[in-house]
Amino acid sequence: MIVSIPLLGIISAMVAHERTREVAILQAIGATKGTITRLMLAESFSLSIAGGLIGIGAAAVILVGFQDFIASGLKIPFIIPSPLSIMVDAGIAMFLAIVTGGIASLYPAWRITRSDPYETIRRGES
Amino acid sequence: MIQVSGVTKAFSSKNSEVLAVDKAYMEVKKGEFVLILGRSGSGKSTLLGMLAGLIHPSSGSIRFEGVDLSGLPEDKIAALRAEKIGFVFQFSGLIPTITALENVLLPTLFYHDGPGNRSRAAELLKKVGMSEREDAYPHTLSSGEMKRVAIARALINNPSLLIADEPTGDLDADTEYEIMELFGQLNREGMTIVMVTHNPDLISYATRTYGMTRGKLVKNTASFSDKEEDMGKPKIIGP
Repeated sequence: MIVSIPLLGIISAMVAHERTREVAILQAIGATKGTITRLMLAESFSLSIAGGLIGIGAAAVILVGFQDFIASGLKIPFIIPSPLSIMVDAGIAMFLAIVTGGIASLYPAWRITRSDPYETIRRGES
Repeated sequence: MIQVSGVTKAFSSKNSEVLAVDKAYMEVKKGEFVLILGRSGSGKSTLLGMLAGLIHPSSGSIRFEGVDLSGLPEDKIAALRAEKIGFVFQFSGLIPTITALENVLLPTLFYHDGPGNRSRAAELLKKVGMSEREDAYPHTLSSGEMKRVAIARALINNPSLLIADEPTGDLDADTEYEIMELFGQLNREGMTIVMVTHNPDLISYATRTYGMTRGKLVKNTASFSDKEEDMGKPKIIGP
């Protein structure tokens, strides 16, 4: 999580930078800074949830499908955890994915709404 | 509809201030087609940005339908833009990942009480001659077609003012004529339009003209002489 927040922050900032003009256009046609921030956070949360679900699904497939290989590879007995334990772990993983994605998008969302929309639009014309 | 009183806009540079707009006075009445002529860098787009509440004046006041924009918080100005001002940019400003019809509907997201709906969007696309392309994505449209969609988008919330910043600047002569005819038609139907351009040939469409040179706004300017070639540059003041 410590590594992923700055990494996702950089990616979010790059995406936000590419979309600065789109955001400026939205502001010019009536979007408030609050609306823009909510849109960006909603998008980030959606991607985080999708990423979390894909990650949990992939982990489940690996755990179930390769349990014999894992047990022989690590030379330890390997027992699939109980359904309750799996659900708790999946919940924690999903929570961390959402929190990480949300935190990582806060700064880009704040920064993009602080740029001058009209200057951004004009700059994009040249 | 709009009263601009002594509006100045200065931008800070490294060691000096650039005066983009210098004590501008201007009035726009309902139903007018106002053209602001000026060369690149003359300050006309800055003035337009201030009329739309996207740029804050350094001094002076802008009143829109009796409301002083400088006294409004940003959210109120954004709401006013959504409800009462349609904006057409030099480039189309369409969002590339959604269709022409969805682009037209975009401003309705920010003005929930507006008249915008799919049937109105389709009707507006028909009005601008784009009914056949409502499901097309922007990258498949020509510059003129994109501009038509942008005009339809500007009209979706039934604004009282249409602001256009060099809307024909990137178009060939034939397409420019078509787009200007469309603006002329909208004005004849009662739409108030404020447009900035560097092209004096468009004056015939306007009911009132202003010229802008080095941040100074002058009423009834019809053209620019060759001697004014360097007059578009903004004025630099102070050390």
